[in-house]
Amino acid sequence: MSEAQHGRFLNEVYDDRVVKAFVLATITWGLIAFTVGLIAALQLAYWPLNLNLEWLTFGRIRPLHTNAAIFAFAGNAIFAGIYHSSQRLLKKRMFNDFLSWTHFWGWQTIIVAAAITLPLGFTQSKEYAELEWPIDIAITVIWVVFAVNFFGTLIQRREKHMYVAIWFYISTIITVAVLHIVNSLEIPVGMLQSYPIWAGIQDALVQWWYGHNAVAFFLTTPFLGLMYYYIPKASGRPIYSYRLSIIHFWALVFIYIWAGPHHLLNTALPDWAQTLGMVFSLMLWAPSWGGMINGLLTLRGAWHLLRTVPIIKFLIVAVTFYGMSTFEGPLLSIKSVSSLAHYTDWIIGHVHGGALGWNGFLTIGMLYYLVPKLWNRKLYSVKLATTHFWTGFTGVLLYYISMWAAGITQGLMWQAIDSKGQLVYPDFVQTVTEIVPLYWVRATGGLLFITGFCMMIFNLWKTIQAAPKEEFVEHVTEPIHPKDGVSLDNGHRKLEGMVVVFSVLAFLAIAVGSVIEIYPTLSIHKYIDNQAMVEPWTPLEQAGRDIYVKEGCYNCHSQMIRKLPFDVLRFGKSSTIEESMYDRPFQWGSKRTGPDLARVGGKYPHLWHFRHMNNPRAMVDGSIMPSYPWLEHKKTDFYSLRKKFSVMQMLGVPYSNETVADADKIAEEQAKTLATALSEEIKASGGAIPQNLEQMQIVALIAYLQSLGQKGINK
Amino acid sequence: MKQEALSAFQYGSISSIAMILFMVVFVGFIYFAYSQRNKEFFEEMSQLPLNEEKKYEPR
Ligand code: HEC
Repeated sequence: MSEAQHGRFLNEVYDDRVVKAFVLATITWGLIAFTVGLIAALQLAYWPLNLNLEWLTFGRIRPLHTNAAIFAFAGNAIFAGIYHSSQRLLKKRMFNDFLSWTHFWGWQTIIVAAAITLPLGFTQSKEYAELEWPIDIAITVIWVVFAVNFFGTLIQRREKHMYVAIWFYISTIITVAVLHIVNSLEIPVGMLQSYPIWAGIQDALVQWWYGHNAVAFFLTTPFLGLMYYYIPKASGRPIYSYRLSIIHFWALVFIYIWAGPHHLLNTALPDWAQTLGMVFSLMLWAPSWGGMINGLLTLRGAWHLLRTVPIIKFLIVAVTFYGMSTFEGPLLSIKSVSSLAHYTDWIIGHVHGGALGWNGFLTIGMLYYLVPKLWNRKLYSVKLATTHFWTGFTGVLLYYISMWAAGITQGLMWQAIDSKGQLVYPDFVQTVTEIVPLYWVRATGGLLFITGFCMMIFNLWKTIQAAPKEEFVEHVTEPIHPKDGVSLDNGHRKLEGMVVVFSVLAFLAIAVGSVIEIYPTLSIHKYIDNQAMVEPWTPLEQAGRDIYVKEGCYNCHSQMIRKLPFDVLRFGKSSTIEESMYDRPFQWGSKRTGPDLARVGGKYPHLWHFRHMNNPRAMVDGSIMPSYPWLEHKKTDFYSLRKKFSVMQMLGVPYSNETVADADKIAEEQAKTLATALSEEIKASGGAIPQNLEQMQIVALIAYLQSLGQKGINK
Repeated sequence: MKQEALSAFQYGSISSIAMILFMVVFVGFIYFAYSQRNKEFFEEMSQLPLNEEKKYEPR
């Protein structure tokens, strides 16, 4: 080999142990995340599956499922892929083994902490950012460890040029750090409780700027990096167009950050922000499809691989799902489509097309590629992998189609208005029982997906078992590319410069959109209408609100009546910015498995709520809402109210010093009054009155529910 | 009233600046990606993942 005669070589031993650890973690957490998801899905079809245990109710378990799927399954998959591919693309062992293992164990500890605290009800209620402040800090620390390890490797790299996959990794690391820190700005009020510094609309905008970009920079850019690496590897062919990948990258990074407000269409969010979110979401379609085409056409002239190699099947179908989701996303961002789809299960279908089809299948393809490589042993059974593919694929399709049908059905029922201008389906529960059969279909889809995943676990387990006992370490001895003029002892400076310039550019690309969107919202109080001002929550209402957050009611209930005729007809006057101006965290919600609650205050007597919370089916036939009997004998935490109110006051909520100093007493008094009234009603109806009713959580929760929509100063 | 004024309020200049900024950056990258000068370089780059496992033994 002529190059070899130049005589300079480098010998690099890659650290594959940590990659193996991340691979095994991906598989383990994946199984757990999917199983919890299946349980949550089954609970919507058959509510008693929560076994009447508070830790297993839907409101507690859904955040566990989403966090496990995103941060435990997808997270570990990303790390496995990044650690494996970066070392090879940069021709350099990871910067520091200690950092690699700190990253690994730190991340697993965070996941375990999440798995314990979420079912216990410690949550900030901001979707995919539920974890409480100590865990938030841990995430920041571990992310910095990861960043130092990655950038350290990058700076010491022995390949002059950075392949496109590396760019995607860089943008991931930078952006996730920014998103996580800004969205987690919160003030602790207890060991495992905090209030965000943002309130109401600000909190909503920051949250969905975060939420959407968690999809963009945690579930898209890193996976695109993996796509750009593993499809060429698995097919032995270079990416179709490197040029397209450059445009794909920059357009995506620049545009994605703006799209957040499409989660808040037709709400109280000012129109300019809605329009901006919608326009940029539509623009996203172009680079996304550029990327999809780039991935697919890599197989140009070798389509037979799709038939014969299961890995290719998974990878290519993953890219196809990427294309489908990124077509559907912009579609859903059109205001009129959003008015039909928002709050329905269509969105859940959309998410799972992305999560199972794109992230799931890409990860699975990568695992089938990595395990035989890392353990130096041929895959145990190609046939089983093919069976896995078809089982999983059927599962995703069933899931997707059933949720699509459920969402559109329910959306149309909510909208239906007869010739007299009345709602055709005024009973909300009617629109729920209608789609329950589809929940069973969805659960079947999920079950198939998990069945396929178990086949993979068996297959990989057998592969690893048969692996040679002595550990396989990949040595790579390569000539230093004479043409690039890179050698071990010089030329580093210039390269370091490139990384920095590149990272700064990527940071600017996301910073511009973020600042333009978030900054004006911070000054929104200047425009607040004095006539529409509201009173802040009383201490007891706030205590009830914290219970509402803890139980995860927001997983099924919105508190945002949109500016749409059918929303107004069903739930009352559309919600205003002022009505949530003191809400920490905001509770606008994203899904209506149950009705909107923004104006439920005063709709029913206390007794109705009392019996409904005890067992919703006692009041509403066919309800799928969980029962919350423990609220009647668990005590309200009055003691912490003073601390909470002093934090609220510090954050600018107009509480007087007396209210802060006596918050607990004021709450107890209001509780006594409410409990007395409620006791009368219970007695009149012939029911049993729980002991010390005024101390119980149900009273605080009812106080909160009854105040919703009732806080206006000029009603 | 103010409330309604606000909800209809268009940060017109902000959106235009955003769009212009985006177009400039976008055209810049298209130019960079498609200029002939870089063609050969890109072809080499796209081989990066495939070349890495060629094992060379020093003689
Ligand atoms: C699994 C989803 C789910 C969860 C979680 C849930 N609900 Fe519900 N909720 C529903 C459904 C469905 C209905 C409509 C049927 C009914 O009234 O029971 C409903 C109805 C209601 C209603 C009556 C609204 C009206 O206008 O008639 C209230 C009040 C309510 N829920 C409060 C809560 C509270 C408080 C929590 C948290 C402790 C909660 N819900 C958790 C699904 C849920």
